[in-house]
Amino acid sequence: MNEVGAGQNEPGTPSVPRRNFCVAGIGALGSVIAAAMALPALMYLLLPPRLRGQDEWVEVGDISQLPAGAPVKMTFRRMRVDGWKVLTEDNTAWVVKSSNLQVFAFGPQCTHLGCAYHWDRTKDEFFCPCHNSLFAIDGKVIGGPARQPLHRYETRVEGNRLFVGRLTMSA
Amino acid sequence: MSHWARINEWLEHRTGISTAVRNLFYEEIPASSGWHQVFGSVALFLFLVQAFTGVLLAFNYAPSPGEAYNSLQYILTEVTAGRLMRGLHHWGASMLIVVVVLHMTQVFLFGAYKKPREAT
Repeated sequence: MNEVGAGQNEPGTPSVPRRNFCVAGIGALGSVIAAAMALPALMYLLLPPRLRGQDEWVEVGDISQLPAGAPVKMTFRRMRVDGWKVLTEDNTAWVVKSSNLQVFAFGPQCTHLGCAYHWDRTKDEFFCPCHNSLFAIDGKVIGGPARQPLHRYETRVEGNRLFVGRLTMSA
Repeated sequence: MSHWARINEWLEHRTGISTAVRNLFYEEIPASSGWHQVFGSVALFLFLVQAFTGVLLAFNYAPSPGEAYNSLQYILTEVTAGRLMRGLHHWGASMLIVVVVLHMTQVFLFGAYKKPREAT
C-alpha cells in the first residue's frame, strides 16, 4: 500500500506521513460533518420547546356559600397545551375556607402515589384510601406514608369568585 | 504499547474489523479516477441524512389527516431546531433526486455497469 504514492514523491521520501495526514484530514472532516448533524439533533431532542401561552387563571366558582372549616371538592375546566394539541380538561380542587376566612385550594392527588383522597367528615382530616395517608385541613401530613404536604393551587379571590393558577409544591 | 493500540489489537483479534475496514477503504485507485465518481457516495450520504432527520421528525409528527398540519406547525414554530431538521429533510429529499439522476447518468456514460462491475 505504501508503494502507491511513492513514485510521485521525490525519490527516497517515504509517503507514509502524507498518507497519515490525508487519513487524519478525512477523519477530521467526517467528525465536523457528524457534529454538524449531532448538535442540532441533540438540541431538537433535549431542549424544551417554546411554550405557548395557556390559561393562567381559571375561575373555579362562587365561594360565598363555602362553610369555614369544611373542605369542598370543586371542579373547573381548563385549557392545556400539549405539543400541538390544545386540550380542555376537567380538573378538581379541594377548596378550604379557614377560620380566618383565608381560602386555599389543594390539588386532588395524594402526594404519596397520586391517588384521589377525600375529606373525612367524622375525623376532620383528609384521608387517602390507597395507603392510609392522612392530611390536616391545612394540608400538612399527619399520618401514613406521604411525606410532602398537599400541593396547592395559586389562588386569587375577586369578590366572591375564586380563581386558581398553577399547582405548586408548597407548604 | 499504548492503550489504543492494545484495544485495537483486541478488537482485531476478536472481530477482524481492522482488516475489514482496510479491505473496504484502502483500495488502490486508478489514476483515471476523479470528481465524476463522487455521486454514489453523495447519494449514500444524503440517504443517511434523510433517514436520520426523518426519524427525528417522526418524534413530533402525527401522520393523520386531522393532525398532520398542526403537528408540522408545532415542529416549525415551537420545537427547538425543528425548523432546521425539517429544512434538512426537505432539501435533502430534492438533492437526493438530483444526485441519483447524476449518478445514474455517470454510471451509464462511463459504462460502469459492465464486467466486472455488474454487481456494484
